[in-house]
Amino acid sequence: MNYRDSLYGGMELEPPVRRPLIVVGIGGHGRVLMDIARVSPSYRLAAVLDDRFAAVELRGGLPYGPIAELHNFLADEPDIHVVIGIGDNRTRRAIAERLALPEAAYAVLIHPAACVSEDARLGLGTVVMPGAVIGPGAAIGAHAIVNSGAVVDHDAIVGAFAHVSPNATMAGAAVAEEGAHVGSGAVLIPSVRVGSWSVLGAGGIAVRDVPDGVTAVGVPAKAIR
Amino acid sequence: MTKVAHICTSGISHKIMGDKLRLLQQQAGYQVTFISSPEGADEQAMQAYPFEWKMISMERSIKPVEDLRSIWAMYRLFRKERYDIVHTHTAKAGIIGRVAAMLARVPTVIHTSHGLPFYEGQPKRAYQLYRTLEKVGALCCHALASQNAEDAEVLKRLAPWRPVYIEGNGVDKERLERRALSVTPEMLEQLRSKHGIAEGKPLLLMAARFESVKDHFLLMESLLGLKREGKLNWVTVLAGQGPLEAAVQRYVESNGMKEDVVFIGQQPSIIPWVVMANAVTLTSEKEGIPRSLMEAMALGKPIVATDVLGTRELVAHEETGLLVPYRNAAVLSEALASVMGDAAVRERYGEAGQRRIDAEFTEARVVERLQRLYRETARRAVTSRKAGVKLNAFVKRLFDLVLSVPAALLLLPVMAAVGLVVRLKLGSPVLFKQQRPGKYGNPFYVLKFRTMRDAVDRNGQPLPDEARMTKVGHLLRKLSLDELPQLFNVIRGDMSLVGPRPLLMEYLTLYTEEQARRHDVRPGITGWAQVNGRNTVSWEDKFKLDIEYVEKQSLGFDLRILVKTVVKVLKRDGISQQGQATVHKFTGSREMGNAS
Repeated sequence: MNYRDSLYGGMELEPPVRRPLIVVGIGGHGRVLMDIARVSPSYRLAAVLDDRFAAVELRGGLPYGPIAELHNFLADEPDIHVVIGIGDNRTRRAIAERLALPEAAYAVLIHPAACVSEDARLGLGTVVMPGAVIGPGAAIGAHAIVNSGAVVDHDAIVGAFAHVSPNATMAGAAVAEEGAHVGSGAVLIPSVRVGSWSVLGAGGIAVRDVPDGVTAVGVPAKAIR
Repeated sequence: MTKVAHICTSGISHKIMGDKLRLLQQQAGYQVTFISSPEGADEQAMQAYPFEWKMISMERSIKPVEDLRSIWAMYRLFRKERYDIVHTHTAKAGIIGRVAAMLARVPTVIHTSHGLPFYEGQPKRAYQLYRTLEKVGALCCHALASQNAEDAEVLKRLAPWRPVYIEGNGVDKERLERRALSVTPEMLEQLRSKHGIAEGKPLLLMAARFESVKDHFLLMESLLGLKREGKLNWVTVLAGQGPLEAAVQRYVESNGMKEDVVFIGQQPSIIPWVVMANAVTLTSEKEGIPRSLMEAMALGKPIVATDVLGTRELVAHEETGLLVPYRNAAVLSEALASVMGDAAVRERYGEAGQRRIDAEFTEARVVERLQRLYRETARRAVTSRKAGVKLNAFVKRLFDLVLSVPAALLLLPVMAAVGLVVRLKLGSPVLFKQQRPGKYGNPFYVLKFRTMRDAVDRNGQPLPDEARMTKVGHLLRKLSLDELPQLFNVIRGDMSLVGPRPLLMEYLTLYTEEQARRHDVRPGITGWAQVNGRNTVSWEDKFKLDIEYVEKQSLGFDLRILVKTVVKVLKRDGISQQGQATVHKFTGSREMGNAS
């Protein structure tokens, strides 16, 4: 069962099967995703790909290999899903462009200890970490990250490739545009907006809109470059 | 002759149902019909079985219109054929079959889950929908069964008002043995040369679909480790097909293990390979119950497998094989090397495995369990029709409430006083909560005032009952005041005023089939056995009295027992045996042979 499946369409009444999942990238963020896959009721970790491997090798029965192996795995198991385990927003976008997979090949990976409203919408490739809370009416784009303990309150919007860091709070109807990075513990007051590819520094509080492509820090947050 | 219809969503299920149904028809003498959708049913398969096979189309997913059509078709079939028992399997057929059977008034309806469709961690809406559907299904049948103990517990929580059985799994050992005997050395020779396996090389077999849940890569990593240490002196045969076959093959080739790992694909019969194998392995993440290992054990093969759900129930570690932690290639290597390298150990595990299969995992044992399930369910249905128990049950519940609600209110001051005494003399907690078997043996928590201290010995083990008994406790028990909080169990509907006493959960497996009938009714605060001597009668006699109660139950009988109880309590006799604070443990009856 995945979030992508509508409630009745094609849902099977027979016992669930955990779908195979490939994590691309084995840095810090990738390892967190591997951990989530281990406890996910929807996915089981099938392989980890990163260009630091020259050839497929096995560790604990799990194949680790170069990213070029991806098409082999996809050819073998057509129902495999992929998630990109790279924390940096621009690099993540670059990898997504390089992989050039159909959108449907991406997973939505949600830690069982996250609270996601049934009325929230999550884009493909997005990951939600333990303790995160996503409220009703919230919309999250593709390949976004809602990190541990982050709050994306009702009707808030998180753009594609954006990253809401640990313990950050986006109050109701706040917006983090595409590629925006909301730093750890930062706060967006209701309805405020952080522009695309902008950074709101850790602990900063956005009380007015932050324009596109800037870095804003402090309380209240001001653009510094 | 009893007519039984078994219903599965998919025709392909004949692979797991066929042998069992054959035995049910040929040895137990039921007239069996198998009903499924046409998926996976071919002429050849249909003709291989002695029972009738009917097709009714069923969708695997939820499709309201098609589903209603399936229910209607099945309803018409049930009306026409007048089956005595309708037994549904798998989630979808379970819903359609049970609803249709209820509408058609089939006398006995039973459902077996083969893995539950709802589980922890599922999106909430899906979880609730599936759970509700299973609950509706449970309302439309007379008994539930599961394949394993874990699912049975979930079912008991889902439907505490239904008897839950464990059906288990098995192999048809005689057929397997016959087929194994027909394997000749020449056949094996031929197979070896066809797949290029050197003569005299030991053989390890894994028969599993190539998909990620089976974790072939775990086995590959272990083998590569052994090869690098020069310890890989056998050939590993991988049987089966599946999406990951190519990936595993590529890995084997790129690591120079082509000589050590042989891919034989889908085989018409796996039996010759099992016969040829020295040991059989399975490295999956989880299993329902691994049939490939069951067959291997039946043919006396030692097993090396991952210690996971399903496999764990079948393989006994260091007895019928070795269980290794999942995804630990090093430990797996070691286990494989030790088993493949020691003929004596292999023989010992193999023989123990055969004995284990004989004792618990043969189709004959499953059919025995099925027969008991059918017998008991039918008997309950008969009693309920005969005595008009539905009305009776309603009257009894009303009677319970009419008496217990005012009694609880009246006795509230007494209970408060007792509670205070316990709190002062024994400390907190005041109440003692223990899981006991309720109706159909499904567990509930019984409430009592605490009468014993929590004293433990140096190792943390509770001291014997005599040492923990207190003066206050003794008095409370003598006056039966410790039982007062059970009035709340009665109000909640866990218990009745009158009925067989709820004993310990661990006794459930010890009852004979006859004795188990004491759980056909709600347990009581007092009962026929209690007014006939309480703790001074032998267990067997008490159970006889309990069964007598189950058979004779009526409002008048209940009243008589209540009056006798009051008289007894006032006379304060027969509560305990001489010189002993509590009762001897029940350790099963002499006719234990019947209990299964």
